[in-house]
Formats: sequence, C-alpha cells, structure tokens
Amino acid sequence: MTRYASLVLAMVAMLAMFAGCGKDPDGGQKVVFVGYSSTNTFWITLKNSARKTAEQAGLDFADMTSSEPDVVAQKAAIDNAIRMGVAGLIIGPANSEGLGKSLDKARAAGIPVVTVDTRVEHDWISSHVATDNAAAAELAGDYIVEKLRGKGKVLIIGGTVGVQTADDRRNGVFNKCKAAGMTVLDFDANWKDDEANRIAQEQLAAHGDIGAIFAACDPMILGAKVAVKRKGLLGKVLLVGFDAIPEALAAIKKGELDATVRQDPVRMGREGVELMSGILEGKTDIPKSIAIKAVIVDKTNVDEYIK
Amino acid sequence: MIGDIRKQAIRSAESLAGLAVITVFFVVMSPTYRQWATLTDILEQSMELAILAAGTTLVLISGGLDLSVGSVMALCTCIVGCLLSGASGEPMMHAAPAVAVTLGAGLGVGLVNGVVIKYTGVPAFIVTLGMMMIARGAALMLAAGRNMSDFSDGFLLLGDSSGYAAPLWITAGVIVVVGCLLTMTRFGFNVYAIGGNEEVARLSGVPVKLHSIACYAIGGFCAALAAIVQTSRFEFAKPNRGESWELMAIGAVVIGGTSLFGGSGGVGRTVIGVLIIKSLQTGLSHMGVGSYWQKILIGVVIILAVWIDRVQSRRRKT
Repeated sequence: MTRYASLVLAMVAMLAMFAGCGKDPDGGQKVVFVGYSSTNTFWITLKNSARKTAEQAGLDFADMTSSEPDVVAQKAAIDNAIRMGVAGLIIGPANSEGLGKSLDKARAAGIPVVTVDTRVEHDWISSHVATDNAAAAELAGDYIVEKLRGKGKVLIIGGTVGVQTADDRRNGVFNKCKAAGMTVLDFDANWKDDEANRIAQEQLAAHGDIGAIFAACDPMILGAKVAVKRKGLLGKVLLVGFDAIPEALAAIKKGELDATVRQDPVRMGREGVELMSGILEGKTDIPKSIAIKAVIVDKTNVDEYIK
Repeated sequence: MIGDIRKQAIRSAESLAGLAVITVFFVVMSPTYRQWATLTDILEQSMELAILAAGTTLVLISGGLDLSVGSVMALCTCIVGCLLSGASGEPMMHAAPAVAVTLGAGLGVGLVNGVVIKYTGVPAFIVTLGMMMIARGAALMLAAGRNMSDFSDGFLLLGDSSGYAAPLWITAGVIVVVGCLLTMTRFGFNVYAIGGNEEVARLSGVPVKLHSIACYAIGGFCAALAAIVQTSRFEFAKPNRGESWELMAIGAVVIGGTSLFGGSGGVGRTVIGVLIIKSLQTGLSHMGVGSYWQKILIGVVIILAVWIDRVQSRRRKT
C-alpha cells in the first residue's frame, strides 16, 4: 500500500497547486476558444485578439487549444468544453472533417459555434470568419507569374491535403501558374517547416530551373528559404509565403524573403468574438460568413505592416 | 491460477485508489465535472489508448520495449484509409478484408521488431526506434496526396456510428483477452518469468525467443486495432496519427502499476493508468487549466510512478 500512498499523496499535492485556477466568472458568459495551434504566431495573435475583444464585450474567455495540432486532441478539447456547458464555442478546426460528432453534441447542448480560418461543412455552425484564401492565393499566383514573366518552374509546397485552407491556397497559385503556361512542381509538407526545408532542398537539387517557390504558410517558406540559402540561390529564386507572421516580415525587410500574403488574424479573432457576442445577445442578422481580404506584402510595403 | 487473479486484483486496488482520489478531487473542485456524462467523455477519450496500452503491457511485462507503436498506428491508419477510401471512386476492398489486412500489417511489424530484437541482439530501444521512423515514413508515403475518407457504412460501424457500443466492446474485448492470456495461460506465466529473469527462464526450458516475439507481435496487432477504431470514429485517415502515443501508452502502463523492468503487472492496472491520465486531462480542462500544464503534470506523475516502482522493486529484492 505504501507505493500508492506516496504516489497518490504526491499527485494530490500537485493538483492542489491548481486549486486556485478555476477563473472566477465575473458574471460574463463563458466563451471557449479551441484553436488549431498553440505555438504558431498566427494563431496566438488570433487568440489574443479574440481574448481582448471578449473582455471588452464582458464575456468570460477561455483558451482550451490543445498542445497537439491534430484533430484527435482538438476533438477531446471541444468535447470537454461542451460538457462544461459553456455559452459559446469558437473553433479553429484542425481539419475540415472529423469534428462532425462533436458539432452534433454542441447542437444537442444548444451551444452556438463560430468557426475561424478553416471551413467545416456542418449545419450547426452559426458563422464562419476566414481569409478568402482562394482569392488571396490568386493574388500570390499573379505576383509569381508577373515577377517571373511567365518563365521557369514553380515549386508549390502545400499544407495538409484535404483541409480547405490548404487546398484553396494551393489551387489559387497552381491555377494562375498553369494558366500562364508555367511548369508546376506540386508537393505537400503538412504545414511543417522541416518538411518544407527537405522538399525544397531535394527539388532544387533535382531541377536546376526553379524560378519561384510558393509555400502555403510562412513557417514553410522560411524552412524552404534555409535550403535556398544553403545552395547559394538566395535572390535567384523568388520566395513567396502566406500568413505574414512577424518572422516573415522581418525576412522580407532583410531581403531574404520576397513576399507573403497578409491575413488579418487580429481582425479574424475580433470578428469571431463579435459574431459570437451578437449570437449570444440574440441578434438575428448575423452573417453566415465573413471573408476577409488579403494583401500581398513585399519589400515595397513591408514597413506598413512591421510593428 | 485463481490465486494469481486474486493477487492481480489486490494490486489493481492500489491504482484504483489513486484513480478514486483524483476523481474525488475534481468532483470537489469543479462543478461541471460532477456529471455522469463526464465519465462517458473520459471513457470515450480512453478507448484507443487503452487498446494500444494493452499490447504495451504485454511487451513491458516480458521485459521488452516498443517505441514504434505510435507510428505503427499511423501506418495502419493509412493502410486501412487507402484500402477503403471512397473519395476517388470505388474502394479497393470491402471493409472486412481491409481490416484483416491492416491487422495483419500491425502484427507483421510487431513480428519484425521481435525477430530483429531476439535474433540480432540489438537492443529493443534501438530496433523499435528505427521501426518508429520506418513506419512513419511508410505512412507518409501511403498518404501522400491521397484523400483517405468517405468510408463504407460497414466500416463506420466499428466507430461510433452505432453509439459508443462497438469501440467500447472492442476495447473491453482486447483487455479481457490480454488479461486472460497473462493470468490463465502457460504463455502468460512464461511471459512473467521471462520478464522477471530471462536467463533463468531460458534455463528452465521456457521458449524465450518465441514468447518474446509473440508479445511484440500482439503489441503490433493492438496498435493496428487502435488505429482501425480511431479511423472509423473520425471517418478519415491522416499520417500524423499516434504521434507520441507510444510514450503515452508506456506512461499509462507504469502509472497503472506494471513494472517498467518486466516481470510484474497486469492489463487491469493499465486500464486504470489510462483512466488516470485521461481523468487528469479532463479534470484539469474543466478547472480551466491549459494544455501545457496538463502535459507537465502528466510527465511528473509518470516520473513519480517509475521512481516509486524502483524503490519498491529494490525493496523486494533485499
């Protein structure tokens, strides 16, 4: 019995540390945010903006984003939130599929759901805020075609196939480059920067005439940039990312990255919470979806966006 | 034999006490935790880990170690996803043969692990570490560019589509089978002997290599089964499944009370270990504690569990 007595005592002692943790509800309705990533700058910015807006609206904001960016962990977090009986859920889906049953549970519990960034097809979702990824990717595609004057190969490093965001971004660039008659090398790195680095390294070695690399998120293009730099091709290969995270903007300023597509995670977080706030107040004129316009950031306008 | 089961039950009572204390703690601290429905949530979140950890229990009791089972889960998810995907036309196979092939694949990887470990003398840590990377790479290759979703209704029955019934029965079945193997068969008795002292077991005539390899094979089979249930529940396959699950499984096994060094333990305790981990995660979520702290706390609990195990096993030897 001693073994377990000591282990159990130690566990209770540790748990007691968290005893003061339950945030005192200051009367506001509890809105839980379950994002995709707890470490990605884009998502952290989104969450902080959402939290600020929620506090201003008098809502009790809690972030239950899982530390693993995968749908299995996210589903558990969402289910827990539903069980806790929160007033509203804001979800940044890890995948366009897989959350159906949890959304059904939310419906059964009468908890409204607003999605941000990635679209999920489900009739219980009250509203969706996202970058118009398709239009934004076309901007990136046009940029590449223009800068390369329609010549050379384009390496596309996509996100996770099947996720709406990834597909839209890849398709936008792919279609524009193909329409201009360019050869496209099409790969996926599952949003991982080390994967993107590897792909870039291999493709640059296999093809001597790559004119541009587009990656569906900034961490990936920064990973690819490392490979390009290693081969001494910095400046000779056009590098275009997506997200406009601070590291990317700094790289553009430094001349190591050519362009990125600026989403507006601050606005996304804010709009998501404002939509939820409106729903909780019982407003009936809530838009089904808000598409936020994106803009290309390169050397010519990076100073506007660097804080 | 009955005596062994009684002994197991008594030792399980210790881990059960731990689980009870944790549950009471959260029931007291969190108003939203106090529902019967929370219990179903925890069970739902525990099932696949429990299936995986049942296999891990067997391997650990035999004195072995398998770091590849998380990646084997990913590989099997992609195998079954690939075979049954209806997203681009007719699926390659019907549900039953696809499930059989996938289970065979898991079993096969386990066999390879076991054979390499037992016949080359390369430590289990290294062999299964290598296999972890091999399996993950193979999973990524299978998945590349494929849309692995849109499965048949038959396959989805293995998931939640009929309520929690199928996954729960499968989990219970695995636990009962592995439990019986360990406590009621000669094989089980030998596995404990091998884990306790491999040399002595060998000298006593126990077919050490064969039994050890069988444990790895069963571990691989459990990984495949966990992957199949998970893929059916989530209705799509992705190659990033099971990341770090081998470590969570080992964690659950040691928290439950099975010795990391082999020779003692049981699958009932592992189930309690899984429930302890999932209860901690769920309870902390209900209390508003974030996922970072949850990870830290579980890590601390695992270290404590093994530490106490070492102290006790030294005490047993003196």
